[in-house]
Amino acid sequence: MTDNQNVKDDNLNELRTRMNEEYFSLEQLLQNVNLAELVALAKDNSLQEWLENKFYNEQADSLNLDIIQKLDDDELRLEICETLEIDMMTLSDYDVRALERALEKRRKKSLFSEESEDYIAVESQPELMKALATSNKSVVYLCGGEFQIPLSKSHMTYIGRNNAVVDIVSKQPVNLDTQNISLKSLTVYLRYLEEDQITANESSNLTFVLGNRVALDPELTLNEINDFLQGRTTFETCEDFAKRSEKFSGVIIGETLLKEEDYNIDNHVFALKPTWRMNYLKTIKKFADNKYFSLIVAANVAKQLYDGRKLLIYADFGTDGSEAIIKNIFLMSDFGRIPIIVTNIPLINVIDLCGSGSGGLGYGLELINAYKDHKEQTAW
Amino acid sequence: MVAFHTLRTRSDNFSLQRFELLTLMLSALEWKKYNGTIKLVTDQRGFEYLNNLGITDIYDEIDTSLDEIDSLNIDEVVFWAGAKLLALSKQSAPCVMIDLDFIVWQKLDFTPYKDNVAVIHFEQVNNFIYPSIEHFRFNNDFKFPSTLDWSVEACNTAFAYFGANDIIKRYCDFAFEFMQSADTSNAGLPYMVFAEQRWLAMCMKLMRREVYALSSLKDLFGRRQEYFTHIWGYKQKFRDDPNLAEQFCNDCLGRLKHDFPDTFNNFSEVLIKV
Repeated sequence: MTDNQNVKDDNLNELRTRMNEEYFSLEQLLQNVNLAELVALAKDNSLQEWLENKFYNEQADSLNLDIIQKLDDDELRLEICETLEIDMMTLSDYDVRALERALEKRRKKSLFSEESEDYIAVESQPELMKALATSNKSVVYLCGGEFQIPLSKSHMTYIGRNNAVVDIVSKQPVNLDTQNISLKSLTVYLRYLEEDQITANESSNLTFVLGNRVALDPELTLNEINDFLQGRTTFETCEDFAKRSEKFSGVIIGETLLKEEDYNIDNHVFALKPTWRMNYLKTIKKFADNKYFSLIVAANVAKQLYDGRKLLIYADFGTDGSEAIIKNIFLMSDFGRIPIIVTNIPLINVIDLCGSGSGGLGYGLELINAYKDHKEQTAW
Repeated sequence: MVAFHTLRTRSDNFSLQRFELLTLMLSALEWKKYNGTIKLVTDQRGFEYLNNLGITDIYDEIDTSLDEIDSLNIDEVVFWAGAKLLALSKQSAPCVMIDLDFIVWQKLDFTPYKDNVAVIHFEQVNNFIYPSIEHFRFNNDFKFPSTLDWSVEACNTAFAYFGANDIIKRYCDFAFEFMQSADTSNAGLPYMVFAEQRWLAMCMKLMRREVYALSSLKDLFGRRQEYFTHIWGYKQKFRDDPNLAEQFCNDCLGRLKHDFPDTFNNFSEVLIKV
């Protein structure tokens, strides 16, 4: 086949004539007509007519105009290739890229309901807002990202795919039912509310992450923490101050949204991109400025964490003389604490660079528990 | 196969944290379970410390001659692993040098390594940890031999097998000469790792002997092996995070109880108390 992506009308007319007069089999057709030309012929039904005339009725039916009019050019290329069993090795790079796009689109569509085509699928917040503004579809598939849904837009169903997260940033109780909004298969991050302040009886399969917490210790208050962050008091020795800091363990200082592409299975490194809470601005700037954050976790643990998707970041506070500081940070999981490793360069680069300079690393700790059942093992 | 631990105490208020003690015990006991005997080379203070804890019996032999290092004119702040090299210099080949926080979980076969050296893994050089020759300063007229190959990869010696006495002698002799000559006024990690890890690879090249690696950084950190545990940098994590340390200690206790139930029962009071 020749590589000709632009089919001019004159050429098409000539091609139609040649096709009808000289080509009597599918093999002859495919040897002399390229994919771009086949697409053009399909759009004006010439191809389908030729197929019928030559008794390739099933192929003609598969490329019926009613069907192919719903397809974009990439998808039409794919349909033609599959229907006419075109040898992929004869295709140009341009055609291969088009087919790959079509296959990806098909794969994504397969994630969604097959019962109805009355939906839109979005992968980012800007895509969501644009789609809501321009479409009247009431079913939205939220794919993989983090979204804020407009609570004022009623009669909507939001369905999660690929561990999508919905952030509810309202400070007032939310009743999704009165708005006829339903959520399905989503992680719901509540920035300010308690779970019982969300009414969502028409929703299902939701996991709530409570971002309104202050610390692992429910008794610890924000006022106490802020007071501690002011530093040592005049009437307190450094030792007393250090002793006082022991109370401020497991304080929530931020969140992180895990992304699949940030996990390196060769090195078991999960890179994090935290979002910090403004309340701890000064202390966090000192601790985290120009730093990189990672976990080292086996693939099964990484998968479990990723299923939770949006995770809270905890800190243990300490003191440096008269100043309050962050000593270490970690995530909480079913396996317990998972330390977050803080480095000056990305951890992957540290591991590759040199073992003895790596800092903060060890290996084989998981083998200590190798005698246990898999589920009982700590996430080293 | 004979292995040895080195325990050097440098202050009167020396103590091991619970996670260090439990790791030491697992290291010694698992070695004895699968690979042979284990010896402790320590100083008098170190022996008394472990003896007071009642755990010296886990060792097949104890040598308390490490106090000799005080007379060797070595800056132990910079060369904090110098005692390990002194301990090695007192051993006969074949032997295995094993860190206190390194655990071997299965039987190893040393016969392929013969009268050579085998280490746990290699490390890349010519970076900020293993800099070029120009980095180093000395107090006297010490000079690096011109025959040293600065391109060979360094050897991580958390676990190292020595197959011949001539290797041990040459390696230790030059390492001590280096440590005694170094200008440590502004010396950092590169000095220590040169003496202990980089020089070993260079030495083997000079002696035209082989140095093998039992594994690689990629496999070790990539969890593609089931033989070795090295706590390493996690020690600092445990010091900084008592909750994490507690989690780790519980895991160690569980393993000790599972693998060595009699020992666990004998020592349990100690393990809880420390």
